Amino acid sequence: MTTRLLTQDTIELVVTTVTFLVMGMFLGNLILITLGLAPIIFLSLGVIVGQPRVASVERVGKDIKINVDDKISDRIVVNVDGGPGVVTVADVLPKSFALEEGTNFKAFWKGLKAKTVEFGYMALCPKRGYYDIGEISYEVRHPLIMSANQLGSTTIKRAVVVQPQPLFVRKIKNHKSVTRIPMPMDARFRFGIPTTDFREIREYQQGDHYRNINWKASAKRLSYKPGGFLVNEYEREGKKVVWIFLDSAAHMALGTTVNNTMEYAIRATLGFTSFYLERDCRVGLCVYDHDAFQWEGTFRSKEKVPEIGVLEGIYQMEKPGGEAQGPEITYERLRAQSRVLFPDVGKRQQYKITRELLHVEVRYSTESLKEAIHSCRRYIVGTQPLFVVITMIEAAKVQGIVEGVKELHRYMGRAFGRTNVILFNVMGYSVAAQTEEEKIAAGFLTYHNKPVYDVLRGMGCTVVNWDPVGESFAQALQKQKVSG
Amino acid sequence: MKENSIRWIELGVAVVACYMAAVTMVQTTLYDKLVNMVKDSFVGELVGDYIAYMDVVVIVLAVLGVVVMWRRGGETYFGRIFMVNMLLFFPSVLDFSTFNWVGLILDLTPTPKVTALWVFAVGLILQVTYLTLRHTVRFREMREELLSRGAAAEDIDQVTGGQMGYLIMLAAGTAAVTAAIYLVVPFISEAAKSPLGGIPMPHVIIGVVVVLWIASALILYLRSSSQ
Repeated sequence: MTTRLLTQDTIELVVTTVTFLVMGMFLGNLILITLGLAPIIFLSLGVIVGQPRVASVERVGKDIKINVDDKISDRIVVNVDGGPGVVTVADVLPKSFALEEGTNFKAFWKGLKAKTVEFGYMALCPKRGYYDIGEISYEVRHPLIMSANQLGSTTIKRAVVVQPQPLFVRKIKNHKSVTRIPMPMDARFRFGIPTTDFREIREYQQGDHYRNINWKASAKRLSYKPGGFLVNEYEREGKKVVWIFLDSAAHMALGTTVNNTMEYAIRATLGFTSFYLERDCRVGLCVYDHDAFQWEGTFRSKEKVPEIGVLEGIYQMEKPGGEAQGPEITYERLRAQSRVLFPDVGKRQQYKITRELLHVEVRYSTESLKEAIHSCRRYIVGTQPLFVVITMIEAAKVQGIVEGVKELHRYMGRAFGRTNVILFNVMGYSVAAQTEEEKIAAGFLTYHNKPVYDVLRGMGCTVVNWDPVGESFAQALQKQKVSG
Repeated sequence: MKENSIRWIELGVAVVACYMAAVTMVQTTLYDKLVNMVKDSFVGELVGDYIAYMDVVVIVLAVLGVVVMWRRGGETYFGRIFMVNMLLFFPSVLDFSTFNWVGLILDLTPTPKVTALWVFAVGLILQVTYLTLRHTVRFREMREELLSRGAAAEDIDQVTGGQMGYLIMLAAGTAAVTAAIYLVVPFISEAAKSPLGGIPMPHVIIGVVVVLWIASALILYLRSSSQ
């Protein structure tokens, strides 16, 4: 049920009619009186004929999982009945989607007969994330705008998961290179005791225990394809731990909305995750905010303590030792938002990290690097992990990293006298530079950062610089002289 | 239908309406009186025999004025076109009025050169022009809006074509119904003479009743709801 509304045009028509009638009566003129009826007849005919009604809206597309820079397509079918008029239908797309083909907004004329309109589009998805394309909004207008436009929407949900493109490092082609990607200190233990965590089904190989043969799966496969047996593979116990710390500070937004430092940092995170998980490491992820580098003491809630009826008198009790001499310094702040995935192995961990990274935005975390490490300390102690800090190093903002590295020193082991921390520097200036002049400026800024790299290397870190525009992820890792 | 087509239709409708109103005006008693006044004044002596071309000059000036206003194209200027047309039309209405207030003031005896049906037809043309122009402006605004929202040009043309077709049909229907009412009114008037004969000022009473009826119909429409 909708309330009828008159537009300004309609009111003006009525006023015109009344004016003519009054003039006709004043002059005693039948012509004017009859002519005065014309607008009201026009209005009546328009109202009687009516306007369209959207009977149904259907979406053809289904839920989909794609990678960044892939395309999605969809089709919308609209059925309209009722009177003639203008109908507009819009499939509201997320802001980051770029329309490549077709249209997601359709305007059409509905005549006297019922009409079915179908339209579609293809859109590029350049930004990772979880998107709900649900709302299809439509607008029905009277052909002569005699009544108010009728707005409506239909929710036909379609989930689009845009995964970041992982930067795989599968094979190092340059065998003569003396450099290699560092591994955790415990990585020398190549074999461990199999756990009960199922990992995958694979082909039987010589040496596999018979009890690991998956008879059901083998029989199923043999029924349609000759071949060997299949065996169950279980995760192996190990202590090789890699902690990846991803910076989500505001400076990571350098670049455009879809092509910025943060996006490259996320892809690098996935690259590291994939690389180390494939090598049986336990990988943990922690998202922090570089700009929150001020250590503000332990957490104190801003929320008032709920009053308990029984203990009402407790506030009237004197404090032991009398009143404090001066005002107490308190560090009140909002509750820190930890974004931590604790170390684990296997595809499940890969999935969990990928899912978490879908939601990472600038200012995703409220903890500094130091605070984040402090929050994870219970899971770090007792292991000798490899720390990978993915950030954008800036000369003016190095304090937060220095504080974080100092905190890391408390927990990390040493391999051949060198500490096991990789500072993976995504060079955002290059990402943001568009013109030649900007590229030159980016070069200067990078050069300006060099003393900072030396300071950080002096603290035992391995600084890996990555220019996402000029080189691949693998090239950035291979060119570093590291001794992991 | 492209926007240019709408503009040409607007021009055609506006020029025809203005021309008809002007032609009608130059055949009215009031206009004759004005021409005679000009003739008797010093302007008449200056113009001389060229006063015979005054009708043409008035018609051409009126049409040119309407064309200039059409070029501006906005709702305001289309409102002014309607006002100019009504101004030109008004003297002919006075010739067929029961209470010719202007005629009483200027001591005029109505001697129109056109018939009442002609005046009604011209008035109907003016009304149709008014209804058409006020909606074509809306159509053009809607085109802009749809274009800014990303609609395809072909779709917009199709929408405009549908709207223009609908407008023409509705305007034609309105003209037909109004004309039918005008032609039927004398018979109704004749039939209503005996029952309404005893009522003082029946046209005023009937007019008030009609206005109240329109107002109440409007209120009832607004208070109702649509599914």
